[in-house]
Amino acid sequence: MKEQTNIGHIHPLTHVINDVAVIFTELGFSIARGPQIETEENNFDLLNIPDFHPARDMWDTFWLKGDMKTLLRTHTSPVQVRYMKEHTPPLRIVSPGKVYRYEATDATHEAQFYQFEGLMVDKKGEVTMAHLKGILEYFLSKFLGEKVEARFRPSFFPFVEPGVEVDVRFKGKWLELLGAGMVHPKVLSNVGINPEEYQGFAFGTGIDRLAMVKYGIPDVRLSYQGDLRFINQF
Amino acid sequence: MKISYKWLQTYFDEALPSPEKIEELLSLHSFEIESVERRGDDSVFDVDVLPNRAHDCLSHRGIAKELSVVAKLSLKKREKKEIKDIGRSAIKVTVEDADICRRYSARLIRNLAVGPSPDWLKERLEAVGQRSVNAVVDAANYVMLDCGQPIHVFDAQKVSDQSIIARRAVAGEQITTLSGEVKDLTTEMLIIADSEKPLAIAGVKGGKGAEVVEQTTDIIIEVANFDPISVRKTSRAVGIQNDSSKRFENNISPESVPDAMADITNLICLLSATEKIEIYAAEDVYMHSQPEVAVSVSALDVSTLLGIAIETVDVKAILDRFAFMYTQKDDVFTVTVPHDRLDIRQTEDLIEEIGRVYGYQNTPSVTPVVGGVYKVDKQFYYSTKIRKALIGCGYSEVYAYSFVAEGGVEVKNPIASDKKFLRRTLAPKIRECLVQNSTNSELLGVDMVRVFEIGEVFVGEEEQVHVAVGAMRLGDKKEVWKEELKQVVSLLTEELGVTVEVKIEDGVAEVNLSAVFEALSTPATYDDLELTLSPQNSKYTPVSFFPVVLRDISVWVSSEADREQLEMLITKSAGDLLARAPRLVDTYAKDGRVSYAYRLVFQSSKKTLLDEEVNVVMKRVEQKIIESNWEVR
Repeated sequence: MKEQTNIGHIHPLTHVINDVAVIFTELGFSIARGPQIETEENNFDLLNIPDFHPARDMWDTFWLKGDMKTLLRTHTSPVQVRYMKEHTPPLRIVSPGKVYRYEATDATHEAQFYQFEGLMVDKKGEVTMAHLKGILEYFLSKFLGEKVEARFRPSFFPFVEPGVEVDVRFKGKWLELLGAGMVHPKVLSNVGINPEEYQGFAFGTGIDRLAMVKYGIPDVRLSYQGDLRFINQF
Repeated sequence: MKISYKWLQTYFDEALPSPEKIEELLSLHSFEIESVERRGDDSVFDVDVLPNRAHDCLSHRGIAKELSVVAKLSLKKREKKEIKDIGRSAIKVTVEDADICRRYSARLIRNLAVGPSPDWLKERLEAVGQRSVNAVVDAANYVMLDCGQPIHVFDAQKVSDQSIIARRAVAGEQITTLSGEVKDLTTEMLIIADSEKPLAIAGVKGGKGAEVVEQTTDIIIEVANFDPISVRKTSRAVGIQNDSSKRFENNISPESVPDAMADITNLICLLSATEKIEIYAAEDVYMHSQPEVAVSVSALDVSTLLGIAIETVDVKAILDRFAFMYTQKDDVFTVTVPHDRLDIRQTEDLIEEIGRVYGYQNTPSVTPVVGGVYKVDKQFYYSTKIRKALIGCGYSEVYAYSFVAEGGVEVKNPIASDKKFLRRTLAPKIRECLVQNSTNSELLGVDMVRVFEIGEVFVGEEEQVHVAVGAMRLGDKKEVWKEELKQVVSLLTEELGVTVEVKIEDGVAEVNLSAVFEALSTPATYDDLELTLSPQNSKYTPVSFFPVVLRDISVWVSSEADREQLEMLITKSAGDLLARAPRLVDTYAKDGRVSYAYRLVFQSSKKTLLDEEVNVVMKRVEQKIIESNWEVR
């Protein structure tokens, strides 16, 4: 007898990206994307991370050979830059995509991984940190399949002010899951949006990290081995 | 930054809250605490001070100030000890480039006896991971860790003409550092020199030439302020990063210099004075003083950005906790920013200060409204469509690494020599993946392994999205795969409604989707993709690396209706060692009965299974089948 028809399996990271798409498009967020090879300007300068500033050390960078100062984007934030340059507020986007960090790999670090960031810009007072909290709780509750609570702690990312780390209470423990904040006025003016008139929030998180939390995957590298014994579990 | 609990206590009269409480307060209001370590009767916090607060908080004093705000504790009043100096300086300080040497203060002290440090000082330094050298070197280190201002000390007798010059290095100049390395200096670099030779790489590392040793009796203390970018460039160029360079490159206030000079002078005198000690006045060259900055904020500003309900009186109370100087006009506070708070330059910065002290954990949560119109991303739409079609045909999705041994775009700083390039095609990894998985085909329960990847490749300057599809059965001829792939191609054509150009090579089909997408129109919604949330119950189970043992079993049952029950019985009686659901490999009907043949795959997560162990399981399975009045063939 011929073999039964088998159904293939979607990669766990695609599951997460699809969930992001489902949850956020319902809230009127568009999916935005940009190239993985980026300019220093989009990846750093316009995001208020000037050359020779110690904040640059927060992103270990792969630089590309050639005359131009090009690099592999270290975060999906340049997608925000590109989108804000080309659109006028109100803005609502999420930007899932591959990013790169020049670092030694281990169970929780990879030289390539996936991120998604969210950005919402509107008139002053219309989009506050309270909206950020509401949206994150909404997203994470849907994604994780149970009502979760988010907590902000002070942190620093040059492209937001204030900047926060976001912890999520999941299965009785606080997990550090995202970085977020209110878009820095300098970033807004860098991309041609008047910070006197508009404000917004931005957040970012690792898609690999979300998959690890949701599915209990212990090692980030498992996703990139092409091993169907792993992938077919999802 | 390592912070000692006992050291922090010196800043307060009242007893500090417990280390656990401090950890909680600082994490919720100020900084992430990486760890808290017990060390004898002390506790050491590893505080993650990020660049926005590295101006003022890479020090015990900075953390103490922060703690006073978030724990509502009063800082002890600092007693100013008068320094009885001779009244003249005896050193000539020349600053040649005031843009990068923003302030330079130097003091000569004669007739010291440099011995080992007393126990209290050694303990303090050791608690925060520093090694004791001698009393003078330790004092300089201590004051830096206490107040955040790096300090350097020269042996005055090794400095020619008692002259200190802050100048750019001359091409070809070299210095032997305190750790004995010879460093080439360039004209980009600021150095500290005497009339003859370089004494130190400014803000980065001292030179061996004027090192303070046990025999040293006369010293020149340097308390200076250097340009952050200059220090960062120099420290990168010479490959030296340390506590000093880190503080300078984060930008510290030149206004802190006199205070630090007083602290270090007092401490050295306390530790190493002899009866004949001569303390000269500090020579302080400070050309462009730091301008004062004022920033305004109101309760409305805070609630507009943060969405918290806060009143003017709350804002005022928080500004008071910071001990900020301010004026109030109606609801607007104008704060004179303390010189060391280089992070406060605009209203949003003050909103952050108010918000975090008020407590971000008190931020309300505004539930979003479902609805709104999104724009469709063509690539997401069509990639999802293709993915769904492939999954339907039994293809599983893989993600591979972008870094490969050969390609067109090269990385300047690869992580490994075989990962120098960005991939320009997906096919090679798909091929590897097929081979790798086909050895596990029994475990996967398939005759043919089918995989695909949708991902970015880099062709010259262009970034393209490709899909690569491969199918393989061990032992089969490549023609079989080709048949498979032809079906895939017609499937893609059908799904996308356009003819796609497919490259089939060595068992793998690859398509440049970017080119295909260009010709396609953007749909209005994602609705026809019928995307839903992924199943919540998937949980990862570790893959076992022990070999599998295969057993086939054929069973006569009375009708097809028994099949489901039979499979359940086999699964249940086979127990935990059964690695996957029984796979039906043959069906045979005769004389009103049906025979089902199954392939059973056994594997342990702990060991290599022995034949006998599997035999025991098979016996049990057969027994159960017989008990159910079925017949094992």
